[in-house]
Amino acid sequence: MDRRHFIKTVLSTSLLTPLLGQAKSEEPALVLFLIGNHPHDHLPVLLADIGVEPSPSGNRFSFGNPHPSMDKIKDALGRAGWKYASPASSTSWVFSFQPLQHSARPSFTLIRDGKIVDVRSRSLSLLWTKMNSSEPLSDSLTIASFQATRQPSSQGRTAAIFIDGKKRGALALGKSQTRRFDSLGGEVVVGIEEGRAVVLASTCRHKICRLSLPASLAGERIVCAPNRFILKIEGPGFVDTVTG
Amino acid sequence: MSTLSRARTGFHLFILLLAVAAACRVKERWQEYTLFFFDTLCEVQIYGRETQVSAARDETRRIFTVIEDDFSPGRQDLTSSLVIELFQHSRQVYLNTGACFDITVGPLVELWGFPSRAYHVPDAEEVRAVLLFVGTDKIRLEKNRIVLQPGMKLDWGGIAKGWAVDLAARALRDMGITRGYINAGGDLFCWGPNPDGRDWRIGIKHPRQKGFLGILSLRDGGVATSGDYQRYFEKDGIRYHHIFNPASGYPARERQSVTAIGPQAMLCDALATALFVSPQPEAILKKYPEYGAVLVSSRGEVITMGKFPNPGAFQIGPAMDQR
Repeated sequence: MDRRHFIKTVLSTSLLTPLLGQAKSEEPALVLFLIGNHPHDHLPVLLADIGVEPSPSGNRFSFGNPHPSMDKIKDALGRAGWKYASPASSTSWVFSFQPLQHSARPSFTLIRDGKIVDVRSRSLSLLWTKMNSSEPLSDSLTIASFQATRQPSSQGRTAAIFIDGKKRGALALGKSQTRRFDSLGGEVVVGIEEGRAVVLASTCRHKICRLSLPASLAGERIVCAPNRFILKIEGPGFVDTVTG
Repeated sequence: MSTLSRARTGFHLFILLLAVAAACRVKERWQEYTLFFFDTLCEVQIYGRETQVSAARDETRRIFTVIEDDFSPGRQDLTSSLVIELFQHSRQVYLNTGACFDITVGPLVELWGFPSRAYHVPDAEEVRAVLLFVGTDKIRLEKNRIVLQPGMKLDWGGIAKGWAVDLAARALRDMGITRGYINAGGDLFCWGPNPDGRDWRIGIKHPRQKGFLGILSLRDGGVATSGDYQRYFEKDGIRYHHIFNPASGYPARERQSVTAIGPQAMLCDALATALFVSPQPEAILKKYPEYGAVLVSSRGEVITMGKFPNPGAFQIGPAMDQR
């Protein structure tokens, strides 16, 4: 399989598009795509070759979703000096699994700063050729992404205020301000400071809303149940709803 | 009838038909409504006609009112058919989870001061005394009622909300609403594609940081989360939360949060609690092969186990804007 075919195969997965978009929008971006049923056999070599050497304290990795070879990858990288850890926010690399829409020859590619790196010009060309020619077809795609590429891009734009289910206002997060709202149980005072919304005062009994962390990411909310009050951060959201 | 009269009648019929056609072509659109039940915010987003949404809102309110009335602390009618039905579900989960989910933790919850928010760290003697009143196996189910031993108190907080969500979702689907979600304070059920025509993207709150631990993608099913950050107090630097290990009488310490995913919100609700408490969550999920879970250990490790709709259904870290 030539590289064009490989890229076409990978592009047919639903996961790549957002990853590529992310890789283009943020730096540093380093994403490794690996097709094959035995990612654990190749990941230590691949990651070492692209300049990721275990640090004295050990490179840390986690999994973005259940991976069929999770235990084997843990073992293989562990032997190479890597450390499994979580949550993902505390690790350098996150490995994810995605099934391909059709089987393809085992292969890999690397995207750095949004551009595909021609690995055939490096020492990995032998491995690339060997995987292509001797391993069975696979519909398993492993994606190894550098943690720095996984920062949120979800800063909200407005704090929408709902009282008893009805929208009563929207405060721009870009402008520092204080607003008072008459709710069913009394008054709720909302403050916007440095792009974050917070409840400054409320007439409710337990003040859970006032003790809530400031909200700034799209989808976040602060609720004052006694006052039937909801502050909801709106913006180019990436979630439909929230659990927890 | 003259030709003119026939023409007039025909014209009037034509106008009438136009009006009927216009009335039938009321557009469907996405609409949201919020309700406050179970001491929390309940959000509903559905796709339907104006009249459907209005009826859906009434039906959701009706179902939530019934469940809240029957299962609120201090308002429990142990002869209610709903109470008996949910007790049977609860007892099954109690048995399947090795008693890690137990609706009889009411006396423990009270001992630690959660209902009144008069928080209190009891001594070992107090805990031991209260544990005598804990255990679903101590409850007797008679023909038309459940019978508690003196001193026992039920706490439906780990299952009733999920059940209410399931009942409401079923009612809305029966009304012909083909797409939507109902989210009662984190216990949710979604069905059909989201407004973008994709799976619903459900953010799981990070138990220790601002923002999301990860994103679940789900087309049809339930989700619920139990976390040690939802209701807790701190004393002498120790966090005491509201999810109790029914065996020890103390807050469970193995996890920071558990999110369960599967066909029913009710079981997700109960399993989130059971998996939070259990030292062997995988063994529990073996008994529920249609369910999966995202667990955050007490050290902050994220572990996924059990069944997910597809291998990419859970992604750690904040999702990107794909709209």
